[in-house]
Amino acid sequence: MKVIYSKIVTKWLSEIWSALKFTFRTLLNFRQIFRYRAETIKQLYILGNQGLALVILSTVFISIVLTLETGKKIEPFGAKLMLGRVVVIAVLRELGPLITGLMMAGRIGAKIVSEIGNMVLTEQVDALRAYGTDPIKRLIAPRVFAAFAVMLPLTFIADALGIIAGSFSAITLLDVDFDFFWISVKQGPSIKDLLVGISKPPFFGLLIGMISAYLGYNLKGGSEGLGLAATKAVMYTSIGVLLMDFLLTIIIISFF
Amino acid sequence: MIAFDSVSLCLNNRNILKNISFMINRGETAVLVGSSGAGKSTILRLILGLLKPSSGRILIMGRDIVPLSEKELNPIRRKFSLVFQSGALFDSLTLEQNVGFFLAENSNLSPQEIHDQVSDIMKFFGLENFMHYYPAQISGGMRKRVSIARAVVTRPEVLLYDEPTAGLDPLAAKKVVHLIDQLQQRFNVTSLIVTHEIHHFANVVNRMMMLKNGIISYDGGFDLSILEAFEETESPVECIPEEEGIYADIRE
Repeated sequence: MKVIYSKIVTKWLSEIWSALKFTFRTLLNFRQIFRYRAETIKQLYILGNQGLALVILSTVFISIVLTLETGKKIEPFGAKLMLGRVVVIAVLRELGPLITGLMMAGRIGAKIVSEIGNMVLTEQVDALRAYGTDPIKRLIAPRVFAAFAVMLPLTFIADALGIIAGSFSAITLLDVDFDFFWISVKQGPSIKDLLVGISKPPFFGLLIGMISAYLGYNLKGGSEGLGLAATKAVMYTSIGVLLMDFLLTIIIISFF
Repeated sequence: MIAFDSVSLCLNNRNILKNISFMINRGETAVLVGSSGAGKSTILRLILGLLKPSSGRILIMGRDIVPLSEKELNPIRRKFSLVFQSGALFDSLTLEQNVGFFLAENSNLSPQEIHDQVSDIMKFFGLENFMHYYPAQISGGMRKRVSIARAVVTRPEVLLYDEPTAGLDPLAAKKVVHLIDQLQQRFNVTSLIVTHEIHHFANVVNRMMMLKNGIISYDGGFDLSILEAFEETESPVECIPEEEGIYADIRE
């Protein structure tokens, strides 16, 4: 039993070490995005374009429901005029970044792992290595950078549409006055709230890109392995985003 | 040019290669024969440093590549070209971009110069009308030709072929062998062809090696009688390395 445990621990440790080395090499090669700018721009476009609709739809609907539920709960206390403030702070600090992170975890995670994994299976990655081109520079760095860079603009869009959807919900479904709602919105957030909100998405993007690229690059087990890696990528990146959100919130609250 | 010195490789508890040694000289065209799973393609991967042996030395142009890092290996790899069994063409690029890919990556040529060189080589391979096609739009035989075109466009010193005729109909296979022969005559490169369809290459090669049970069982001139005596089946021997204590614990 002891032997089996030690085998599992050794396997985990070597996996973590290998992932750390991969991360380090990828980050070091971020400067290659200028050399491979066409590839990087293509990836930015693909990741942004593919994730946009998903992020918009999920933020809009969650924001509508959040506003409705909160409005109904605070109405008996006569605090409906605070609704704009509550909505804007919730969206800016947490909902916008987190929903964008979770949605993109599924979208980007599956996309990167299946793309890189398929290239591994069809020996395209080996072809790059065989001809003296580093796949980390050519394939991984542009994708991970794109995942990192695309998160902030998407979060801004999610934030803006989340607040607009919240106001729509408050005005049409809860009969809150348009002016009162927007005055409350303007009084709500501070610069700090905005900074808290925008500090998280780049970390989420980096984490999503790195996990999914690592799983795709180290794919084993043919097409069955590819399916498994895609499932793992969605699971690991989603859990990773939630954990990172928790850690960043703790850090931000402690220091600011 | 290429020398294997007592090279062994153990993968997933299987002895793929057992203490093999051989040397391929400049300008030689050698063929490596063996049944499926014998480790022929593995030898190509070892030559390029895509795999590391369990023990032994691999000398490329006099330099042992086993201890080298990926970064140190890249300049050596650029002197080689490998034609992959699957073709390994990049799905998202056109045939022209595929063939010109490594010129764009590893040379200082202008896009126009790359285009000219690629056009020349594609004409040589009879692919000039398919330059803007994608790999998914062409046949297996054509993919193989594109793969060879990509390999030769960089003017390598050594060409490695991994099963260049596998999966092709007799006509397409004949075409590919004819191209390989023409290339040998035109560029006079050192070549190592890995195949289990040796009969295609009878008139192309000047040396034959046979891989059987992890060892080179024959190394010499092309000889049909030896080929006929060659047993088709072989099974890699199971090995459990003694130094891995965890297995010793399990055995106990």
